[in-house]
Amino acid sequence: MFGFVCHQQDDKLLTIFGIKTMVCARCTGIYFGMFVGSIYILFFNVIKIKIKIFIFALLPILFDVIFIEINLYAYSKLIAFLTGFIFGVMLFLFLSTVINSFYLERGRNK
Amino acid sequence: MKKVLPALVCGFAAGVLQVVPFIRGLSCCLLLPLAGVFAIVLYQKSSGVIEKIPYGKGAMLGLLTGVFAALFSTFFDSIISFITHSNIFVEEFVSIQKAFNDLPFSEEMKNELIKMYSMIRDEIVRDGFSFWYTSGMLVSNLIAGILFGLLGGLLGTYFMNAKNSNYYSSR
Repeated sequence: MFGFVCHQQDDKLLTIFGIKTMVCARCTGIYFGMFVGSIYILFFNVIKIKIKIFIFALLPILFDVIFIEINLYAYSKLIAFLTGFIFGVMLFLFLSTVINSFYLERGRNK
Repeated sequence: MKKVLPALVCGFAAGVLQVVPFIRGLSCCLLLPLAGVFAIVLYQKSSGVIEKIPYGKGAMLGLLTGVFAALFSTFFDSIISFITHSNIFVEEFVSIQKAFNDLPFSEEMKNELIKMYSMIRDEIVRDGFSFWYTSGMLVSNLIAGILFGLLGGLLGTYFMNAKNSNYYSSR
């Protein structure tokens, strides 16, 4: 389960209240970030996120993966979670911008 | 067919890359949405004309990419399992057993689950194929593929429409 969307390597899973998460620390960060983003959208207005900002939010993940691969530092669950979290929040806010555009387009076509 | 081809190509690529352990570890959950984005880019390129892509069409292309990726990934995974009589489920069986023991279920339920999973593992090791494993993987992959592909399709449509917005406004 979830193996299609996460490598689920045992050493990269988070343990919360003694139970291991089904996805890795980075993916947990992304989903938790999306959850936080959705809570934000519930109480505040939709922020229009520009593509550049969205791509900028992806860079910490990219750099973290590259730095680990070139052995600059060892894999850290905390860094993985945080980089995923930043991307997750931005992803949800950006997605709400996209869905907003979708409904605007539908409204114009009616 | 021409409209489905970008989804088929990107779904195939994602399905193949999903079974390569190094790529799988590196790209994690970003591979499928990326496949959806590339399907939109390919669609625009193959159509030959720069036109605004409707979100409905983008979402459908992304969804199809996810479906194809799930089908190809399950197919390749089954082929590799059939040849090697092993897969990630067999390799990680001890971890799975450990994870089950951590779950807040009754001992009876845990034993039943472990018994069922052991049966599936034995089938893969013996025959190289397990009907329950393959069908379970297919359903799970399809659900994840549809969701993540859809996300990629929507994002790709937004990217392409934003990229070409200057072109539309100059017409």
